[in-house]
Amino acid sequence: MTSAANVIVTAISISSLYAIIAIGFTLIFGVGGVLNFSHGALITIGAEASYLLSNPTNLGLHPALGLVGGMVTAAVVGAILYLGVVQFVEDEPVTLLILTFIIGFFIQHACRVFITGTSDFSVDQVTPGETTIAGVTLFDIDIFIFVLAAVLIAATGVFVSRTKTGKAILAVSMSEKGAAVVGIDARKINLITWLLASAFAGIAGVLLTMKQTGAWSMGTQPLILAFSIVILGGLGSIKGSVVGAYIIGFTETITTSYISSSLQGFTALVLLIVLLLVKPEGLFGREAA
Amino acid sequence: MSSQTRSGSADAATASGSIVLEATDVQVSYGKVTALRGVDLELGEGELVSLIGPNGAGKTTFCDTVNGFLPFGGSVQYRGMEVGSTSRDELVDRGMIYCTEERDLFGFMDVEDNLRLGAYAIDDEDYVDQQLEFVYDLFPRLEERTEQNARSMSGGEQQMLAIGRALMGDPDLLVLDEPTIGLAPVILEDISQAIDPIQEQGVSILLTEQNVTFALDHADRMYLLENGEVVKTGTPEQLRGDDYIRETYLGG
Ligand SMILES: Nc1ncnc2c1ncn2[C@@H]1O[C@H](COP(=O)(O)OP(=O)(O)OP(=O)(O)O)[C@@H](O)[C@H]1O
Ligand SMILES: [Mg+2]
Repeated sequence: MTSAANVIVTAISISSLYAIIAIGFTLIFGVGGVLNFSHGALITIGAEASYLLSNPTNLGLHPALGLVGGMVTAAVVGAILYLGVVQFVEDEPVTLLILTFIIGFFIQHACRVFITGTSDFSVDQVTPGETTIAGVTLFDIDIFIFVLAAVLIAATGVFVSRTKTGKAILAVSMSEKGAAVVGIDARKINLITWLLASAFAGIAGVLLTMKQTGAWSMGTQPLILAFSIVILGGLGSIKGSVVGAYIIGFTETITTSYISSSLQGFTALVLLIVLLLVKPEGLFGREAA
Repeated sequence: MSSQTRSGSADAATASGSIVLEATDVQVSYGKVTALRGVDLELGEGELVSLIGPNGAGKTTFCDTVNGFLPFGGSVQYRGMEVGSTSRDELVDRGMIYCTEERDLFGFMDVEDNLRLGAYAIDDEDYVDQQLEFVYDLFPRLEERTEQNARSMSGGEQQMLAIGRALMGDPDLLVLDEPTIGLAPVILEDISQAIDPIQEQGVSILLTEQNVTFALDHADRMYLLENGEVVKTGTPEQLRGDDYIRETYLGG
């Protein structure tokens, strides 16, 4: 049954996941100037970790532990990526782009070969079941996704605008040298950003698997969308990422539900091209950071 | 020094007498371009030393070098620590604070956030509040626009903010790279009047300038840098009387 209400609820929950994926992507870009093309692979890692932890054919732990485990695993891999690779080529954007792309490609294929093969996989939902509100039946997982994402987004907003470390993150994103002269260690700030962004990607991976299914290549599509979203919203802008995520998420869900599922990914690109022509700095520029 | 937020600097000071900064035979190249060719410079406790020179002389290169931003040959000692083997955070922690020529403000943050981030390395909240008041007294124009974004301010206001942010870091040695560049005479006067109160806080200052008159007015000692080399040193009185300086830098 795809009532209008269901389409909207799906759009909201998908958009929420895109938003936390895009926030991580945009933070890493804003702070370190890195277009992290391994961001999608971190989504996959979160999903694969939760599969290992909570799928009944594996460890069979509670799905909530799978969610936490997916988050932690992605964060650790992200930190290793930053400390082991990215920090050494920080000033070479093209090299970084190629390197992160190759590493992401490699990680996803490693997941295919060593963990789940080419078949889709599933994990139990943290909140199975349905709730009926005012005659509309909602999946609890959609409500869970929406609430968790909202909490994460709000917490990120408070963190960067109110805490000393958060302000240091913004400072590095605005002026690396300015940050250096006040004694901010850009390496530490970059590491924090990678941890945060990767954890968010991991969470998104687990939740996407709970809502739909998981697959070794599941990170690729969200990566492309995240790229579109942050350009739409303005590179480096958190508020822009959230708004961009909802625009893309809704367009995507509505066109695939009502027109044709073969249009997946296509409408986002059309939107992106139109926007680049009309407002090349994105909806929010840098302002909203 | 104005606070007890910093440990260890007293020992370092005794170890190296009253010398705050000592550069010996400093050489810096950018690839094939040699920017500094063996510069010697000394700055004592409480002194304001000015490094003057034309465009491209190497002033900014020297400031970047002493603040640990560039690899270099020779030696730079700050309070007895070798800059080449000290991290930038450590230098800031020990009170070497750099106000860059480009200002490098946090453009999308307001005045107050910029200033408070200047005290990033300092944990003493009371000191931060007190120093914020000092900066606002020094530059009332900043206090009038605490919530204005840095990037929307005029060049002069930005310069005040850059100096103010540096002061928030509790400087022991303040490195000011061409603070008067592109400023109108009125603003120049504001900056000029800030220098005495800063020195009264016990801050030693390295000031680079193309505005030789400004440097002559404030410096205890001066170094003239041309083409990466120090070609003259002396007190302002000595340099005022120097024919070469008069003809080349003071318009005859
Ligand atoms: N990043 C760089 N790469 C190559 N050459 C550089 C670089 N930075 C400075 N230089 C060169 O080093 C020399 C000294 O430059 P520097 O910026 O230190 O001069 P300056 O005295 O600060 O000049 P100004 O008064 O214009 O600020 C110049 O010849 C300049 O072209
Ligand atoms: Mg310069």
